[in-house]
Amino acid sequence: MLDSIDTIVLVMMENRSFDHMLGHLTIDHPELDVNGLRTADMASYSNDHNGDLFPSYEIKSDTDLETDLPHEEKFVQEQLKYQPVNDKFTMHGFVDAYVSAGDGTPNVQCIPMGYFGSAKIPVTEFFAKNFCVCDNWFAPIPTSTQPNRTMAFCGYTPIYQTKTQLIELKEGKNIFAWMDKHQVRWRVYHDGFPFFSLYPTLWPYVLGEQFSRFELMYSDRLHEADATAPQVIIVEPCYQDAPHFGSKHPNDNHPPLAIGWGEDFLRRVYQAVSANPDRWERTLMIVYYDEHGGFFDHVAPPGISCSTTGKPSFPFKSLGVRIPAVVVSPFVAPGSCSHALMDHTSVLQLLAEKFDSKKIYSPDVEKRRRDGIRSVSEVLENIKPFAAPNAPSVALDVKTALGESIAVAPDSPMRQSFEEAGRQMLEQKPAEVRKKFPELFQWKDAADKARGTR
Amino acid sequence: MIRIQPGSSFATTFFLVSFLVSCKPRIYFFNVNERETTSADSLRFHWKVRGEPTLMFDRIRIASPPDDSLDILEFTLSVKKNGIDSSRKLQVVIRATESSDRVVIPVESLSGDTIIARGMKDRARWENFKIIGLINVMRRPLLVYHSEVSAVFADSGAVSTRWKDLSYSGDWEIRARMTDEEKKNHHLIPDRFKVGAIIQKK
Repeated sequence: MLDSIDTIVLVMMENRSFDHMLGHLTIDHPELDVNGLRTADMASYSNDHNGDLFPSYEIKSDTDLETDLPHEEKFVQEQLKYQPVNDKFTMHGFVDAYVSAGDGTPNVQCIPMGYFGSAKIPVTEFFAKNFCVCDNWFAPIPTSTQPNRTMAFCGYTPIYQTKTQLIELKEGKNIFAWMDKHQVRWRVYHDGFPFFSLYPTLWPYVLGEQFSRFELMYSDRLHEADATAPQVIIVEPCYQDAPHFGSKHPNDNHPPLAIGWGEDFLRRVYQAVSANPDRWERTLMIVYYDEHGGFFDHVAPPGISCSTTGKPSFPFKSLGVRIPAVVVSPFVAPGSCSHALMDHTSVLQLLAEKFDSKKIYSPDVEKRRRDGIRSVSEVLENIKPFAAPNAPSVALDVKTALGESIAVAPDSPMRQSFEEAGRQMLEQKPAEVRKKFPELFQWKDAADKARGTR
Repeated sequence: MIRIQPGSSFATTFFLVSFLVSCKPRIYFFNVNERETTSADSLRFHWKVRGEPTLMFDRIRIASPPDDSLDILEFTLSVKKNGIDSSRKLQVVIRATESSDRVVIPVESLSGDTIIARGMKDRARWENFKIIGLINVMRRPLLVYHSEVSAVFADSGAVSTRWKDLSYSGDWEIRARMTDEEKKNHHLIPDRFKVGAIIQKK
């Protein structure tokens, strides 16, 4: 069936857990064979903190959250709440971690314990109902964004936490070098400053012709000739933590963002992917999340270990928390669910199966396969492709949006990292940046002036 | 002393910085004197904000699994500035004069055949409540320690008034013997122990 697929599209969003986004499926429809939340089991999901119980609850309106949630390595360990007496991850530590990160006395309906009902996430719901939910897909490692995204696109990570840093990769050991070596036509459509800009090794790609504005994706899918059309597309949302200039609104779903912006972005991606019916019939899109962002999930991760490649090496003893993942394609059974154990390297396995004669991506990814991680190809079962159903056209109701002032320097490691990437890129590659991200010049000048550093 | 001349580049920068820094609303803090209260009590709020504040409240009833529900007053402090909103919520549980609650604490260790759970009932939330009685809500005998008082609960549903009028907040310990199945397979040991409580505002 892989031979029938001409285009693989990867869309990685930010920082939400499976139960937070898709747990409601089995509250609304208990007959579904999905490992979501169940009304009869709600007591077992409640997190205990200082003698009190904090239940899982449906979020009633989509607003910007008061704060981001903790999701660094030490907080994830607290969330998993390993119980040495019975040798289990209890998944009862999400409120503990939230309080540890410093937010005082928690409400009974504590932010990490909330989940969305179908009405607030119409596009994600549409994907779940019309395509294939993967309910056993975990972040590869129990830590934050930078290491998990590195795992997703390299199969290894030199780092174990997110901090103010640009990330050094092994020479030639990244998804773009791999695809070039295998003569795969690829393209990245980015809605704003790309996450790949955090890797100086990848700047030649980021500043090159294969990184293209997201606004061009729709028309490319409609009109581009088959000979030049990419076989692998990576779509990057507009990151909450990246520098912005102008009216572009972040839409990666990273808290404290309201979820509606991300839903609208996913709708636009789907519309672009399905714009050309002939191309749609030969397309497989994976919509997934880098990590859980500090939101609750009730499924304990398997004990598949992994160590970072940096010095000193940092060992992880398990996968990370479960994330929402949906395979959107005419090659899946509509409304189906795959229970195959997967993490982000499952996508790299898929690429190897499609493009490598030995079907091996790398020794690191192969080791994970031997440890039990399956390929995304296991969800493909529909032999006769079907036409793309129309995405919901409902208006997305986002209550508030907070503007960020460029006069205030960023205060989080991710934001500082993005800003550092922009500044260093401007300093070292001004000619290329002028062609690729001309808005960065205006952003830097305006920020420096506003902060009084110019 | 620096004299700022209108139209100078310094003046422009100064006013631009001031304007941009202060253009969005901010909630520095928003808190209330009690998180668990009764309808006979008053609530006192404190906040510090930048912008125009509005305090709203809703009365909601939420499920408190497995078999209970809670009446909650949800207060939302919304602050507006330059057309931008920022908001924060506080929830206060409203209890009857005498009400039921649970102490839920994590299993911490084993001592021979005994499972030991330890934890605390949050002082900030519960310091104004006292115990009327405790009830065994687990399907096994328990030994409960709190406030230098201990008691054995032989069966599920067993009640004790040994802690009457003692403070509900503070450290708790619950012990239980392992069952035969748990001795053979430690995976069956529960993650946490609980005891039911009838409580009253002091």
